[in-house]
Amino acid sequence: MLWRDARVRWIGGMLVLLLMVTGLGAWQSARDYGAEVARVTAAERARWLGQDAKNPHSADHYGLWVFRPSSPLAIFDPGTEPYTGRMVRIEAHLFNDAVYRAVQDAGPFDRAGLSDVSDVVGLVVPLVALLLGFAAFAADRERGTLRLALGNGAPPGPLFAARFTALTLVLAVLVCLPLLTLGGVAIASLGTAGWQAWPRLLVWVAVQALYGAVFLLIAMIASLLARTARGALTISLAIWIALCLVAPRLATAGMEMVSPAPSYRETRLRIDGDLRPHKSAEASDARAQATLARYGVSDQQELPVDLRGLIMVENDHHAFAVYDRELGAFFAALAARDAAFGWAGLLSPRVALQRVSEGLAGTDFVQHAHFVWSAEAYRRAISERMNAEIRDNPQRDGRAMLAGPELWREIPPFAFAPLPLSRSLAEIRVPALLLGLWLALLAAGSIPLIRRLAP
Amino acid sequence: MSQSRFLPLLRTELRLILRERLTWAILAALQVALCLGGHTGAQRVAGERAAIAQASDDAARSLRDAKEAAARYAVPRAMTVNYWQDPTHAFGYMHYFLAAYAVKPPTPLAVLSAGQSEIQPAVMKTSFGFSTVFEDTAYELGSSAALRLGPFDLAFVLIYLVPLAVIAIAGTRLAAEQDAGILRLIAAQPVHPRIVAGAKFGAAALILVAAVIGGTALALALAGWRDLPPGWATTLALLAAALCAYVVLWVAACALAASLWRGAVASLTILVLTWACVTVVLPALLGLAVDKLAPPPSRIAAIDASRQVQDAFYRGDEAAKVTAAWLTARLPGTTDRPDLRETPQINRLARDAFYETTLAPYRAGMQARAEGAAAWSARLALLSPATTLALTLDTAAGTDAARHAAFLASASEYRRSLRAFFEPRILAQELRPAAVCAGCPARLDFDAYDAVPRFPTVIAADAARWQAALSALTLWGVALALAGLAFRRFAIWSV
Amino acid sequence: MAVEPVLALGRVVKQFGGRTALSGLDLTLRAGEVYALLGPNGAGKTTTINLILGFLKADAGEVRVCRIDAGTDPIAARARTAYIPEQVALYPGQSGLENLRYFATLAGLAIDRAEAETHLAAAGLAPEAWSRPASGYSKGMRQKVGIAIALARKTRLLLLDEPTSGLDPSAAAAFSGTVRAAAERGTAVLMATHDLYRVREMADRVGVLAGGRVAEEIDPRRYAHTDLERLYIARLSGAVT
Repeated sequence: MLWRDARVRWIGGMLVLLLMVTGLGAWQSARDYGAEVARVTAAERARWLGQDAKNPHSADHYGLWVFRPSSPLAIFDPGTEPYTGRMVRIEAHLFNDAVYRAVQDAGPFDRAGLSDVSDVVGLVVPLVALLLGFAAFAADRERGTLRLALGNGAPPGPLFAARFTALTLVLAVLVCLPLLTLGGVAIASLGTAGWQAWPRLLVWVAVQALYGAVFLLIAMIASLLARTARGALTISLAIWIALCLVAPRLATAGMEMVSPAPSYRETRLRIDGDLRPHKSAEASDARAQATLARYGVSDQQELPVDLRGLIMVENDHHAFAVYDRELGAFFAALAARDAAFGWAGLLSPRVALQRVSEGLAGTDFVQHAHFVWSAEAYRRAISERMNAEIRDNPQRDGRAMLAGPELWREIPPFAFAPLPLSRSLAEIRVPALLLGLWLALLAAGSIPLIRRLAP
Repeated sequence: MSQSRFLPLLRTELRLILRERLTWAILAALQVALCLGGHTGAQRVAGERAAIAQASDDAARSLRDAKEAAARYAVPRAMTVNYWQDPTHAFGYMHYFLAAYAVKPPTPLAVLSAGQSEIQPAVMKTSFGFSTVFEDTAYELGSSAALRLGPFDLAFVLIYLVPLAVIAIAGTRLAAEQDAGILRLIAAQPVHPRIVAGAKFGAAALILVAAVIGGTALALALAGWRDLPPGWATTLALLAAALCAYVVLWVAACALAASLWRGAVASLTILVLTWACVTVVLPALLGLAVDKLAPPPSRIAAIDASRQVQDAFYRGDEAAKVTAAWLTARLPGTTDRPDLRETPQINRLARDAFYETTLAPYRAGMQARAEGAAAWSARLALLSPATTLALTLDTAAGTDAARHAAFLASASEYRRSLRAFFEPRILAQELRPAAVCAGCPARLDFDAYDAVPRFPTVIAADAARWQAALSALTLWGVALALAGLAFRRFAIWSV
Repeated sequence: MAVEPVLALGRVVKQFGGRTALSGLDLTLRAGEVYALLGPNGAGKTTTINLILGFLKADAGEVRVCRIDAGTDPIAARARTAYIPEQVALYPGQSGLENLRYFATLAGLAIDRAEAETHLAAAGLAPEAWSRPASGYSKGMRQKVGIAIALARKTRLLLLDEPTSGLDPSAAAAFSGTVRAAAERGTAVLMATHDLYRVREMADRVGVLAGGRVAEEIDPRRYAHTDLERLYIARLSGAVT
């Protein structure tokens, strides 16, 4: 009966169209990005291996670029990706930022709120659910048909259950079918190595349907409460605005007040402040003298190792420790703040959904931090190998040491293994529970209203 | 006759609206939202000022460090000082001591809108390297969860929530009367529908305009906003006019929806869907249009190009050739000084120039894109009242895309001016190295620390004023057009 | 014919799509006269009222209120007409007093509180209800506010649409009294109704609307209630067949 309703067909058609257009657009971009990254990664590897003979430290400075591979589900929910860079310059001494955020190259309208599938699900699916559900009882009450039904012995419980099930099925078909289709296309055509793509897709789509059901239930409760369809619609729209538009922004304002974001700029300044004294002429001189004393020699020519290489090893280890301490604390603070955002799911299911969605899609901050530290680990491995080569091959009389392709080949290509689904599930347990809690509380809240259902 | 009927009716309608508890609940919620928006704006501006102050402190610290080191190394003693540790070495100072920042200070109205400020930095440390290809790599890595959800700033309240408050107060005027059956009794009175509708929607408009303008002023005052530099009063007045127009526009939309005579459910549905289209769907479509009209060039392609040129430079004797050519162009009379080509500093300057030339089209392309996207956005913004107002608030706050594009351009220009300052000094030191004293660790004699150019900070008040004027004009045009349409449609009652 | 008619409908035709609602309706009403328009649902009673109020325009014929063409100058016609719909809907958050003063303002009258109270009292609304929100009013009470509005307007024509439907007997009886009192003050009253019992009590003349015109005019006082009902049904079936 629902399918015959022109309103349902229009609303459903628009939703499916929006999902497909945004999803296919994102899929096209992901394919282009993947192809470009694959080409440049191969070229970078070839350039690294094809370097002329040179000092290993020069090779360390020459470095290379690594790129963050995207989860196939990033076409649904790019999560943190547009806000964090996906390209890292690997080079000696520097823990470089991941740079070139998509959002930096986007126009000023791109954050309007409908830029990807997860936005459509977060904003439009609730609206669709509310428009489908607001008239469930209120319209019957207004027409008097509810009086007729209840007066003739129709039990309110099964009446509610039947309508809710029917509407949920309609919504599930409208939401899940396009998403599963798009997801299948993405998995078949984009790189999926290590992503556990199918389980992620199935859980992700199920969560979106659950989210739609939350709003369907809200609409049906509004319909139970309101005397007229107008009243039910007004309540539903007000709830949509409050939960989907205002509450998320309130969450950001509240979070900023409760726990201000750690400052990256200050962290970087502290790192510079810690590294600077170590690099001064006095400090370098003192370290050189201490090294000579340690080996019991007075001239570096007498050392069994290369002094410059040894100092570089020590300098890098000092820097690694500073980076680990400062950036480790910074990334941990940001991850904790993002996790705390999960609790903001108490304010609105949309906030909970965002955290759950990006976690399942593999585009949350924890995955980004994992990539950044993986790239840093790769950078350190290169620096360690290059420094060791210099340190262990002392050169006399100011000659510079030269290395060749054998050394370059010792460095393996950068391989990024994403965090597994089990870790993502652990990360999203709070917002996922809150989403479930919303559904459970709404269902529990509807029971007394159904019992008291009056025409 | 009409006027004598209209004014008493307007007074009655004003009383009616102000007696509704819903009106006060909505206005109170709006005021709270405005104050919260003002508060977050003030916090953000304070953060930006702190960042700029920190940059300034860091620049002062680097200058102090350099001067202190120069003084220490100007005393004879046995110590090795490498060029990157030596502030008397112009090249060493430029690359390893100098902390020069390009900054984009907040405008006097910065509290109004976060705009691009969350994603585009207001402070950029000048770097002379090419390893990251482009210069706009700096960003404040913050909570992306918050960035995705968006800020609760005054612009959000004014652009998104004010229309909703208007719809909540004015959206069912006449339509609710129609549903309740009151309209038939109203229509039976000897009064033209235009006068009744004019009074009802006029009263709503008066109350809402007063609440929005007064509420915004109160929010700004509570956020600690006081002084307005000369030249900004006109901008503020134009902004207020644009804001009034935005409110009137939505009231007119409510009137137009009521004039369709479809009842309150249809009116509300139409208005909320219109709001969603104007504030969310249309801006998203405009975003797609901007991407098509000014497509962003590929950063990855530029990275690839930078690596190709780097690879080429270090292959075979390319470095020597490039350095020789660069040196000949700069110092034609030094062919008898082949030693100069071997110095790492000259080699590095020549390499940088080589990279700069190769990467110039990519950097220019990216700059052109930033300017193109800002320009197209400014044009297309006029297609939606929400984006029109957003652009105006951003421009007044100095957080708009055009200002950032200009900031990027001036940051590049500043970097070039620094290079132009240091290059002749480095060359001079390489040609005629002169130590500051014999037996001192200091290698050379650079000491022009205070003469290093500083970044010229600019707050262009003109752009904000013109944008506010254009916006006020556009929004009033649309508001009056909608009101005119509603006026036409209210020719007869539908009972 | 010395007295000018307050309401004059001459050969009025009104069609909705292919359906003819009125096909040459003639009706004249003079000051102090109460005229009841009887007819089944869909006979054209409400259409007639809508034409008099200028909500609709006649396809042919003319509708004049105090010689003013309601089709071309509806506002002037309405200035001389008070109307009480079947369901008097008031602003629920406002009291009866406030509703009365609001509708008076709409009609271009500035009435003070004392004057408004006089009209409410005359309409029979109990003083304790005057300042209570209308959301708690019964249908009869709302109707009394409607009458008060009409009284405040002091118009020459009063239109009543199913005035007694849904009223309890005592309220209906009180309403009859109020209508008669208005007629005695010289107001011409046209009411569209099904209520034969009250028609007999209130109306001077009864027009049976059938086939889009007045099929027969009856003097209700000549008939007992049951006879009136029989006659009405006979006229209707005659019109249908």
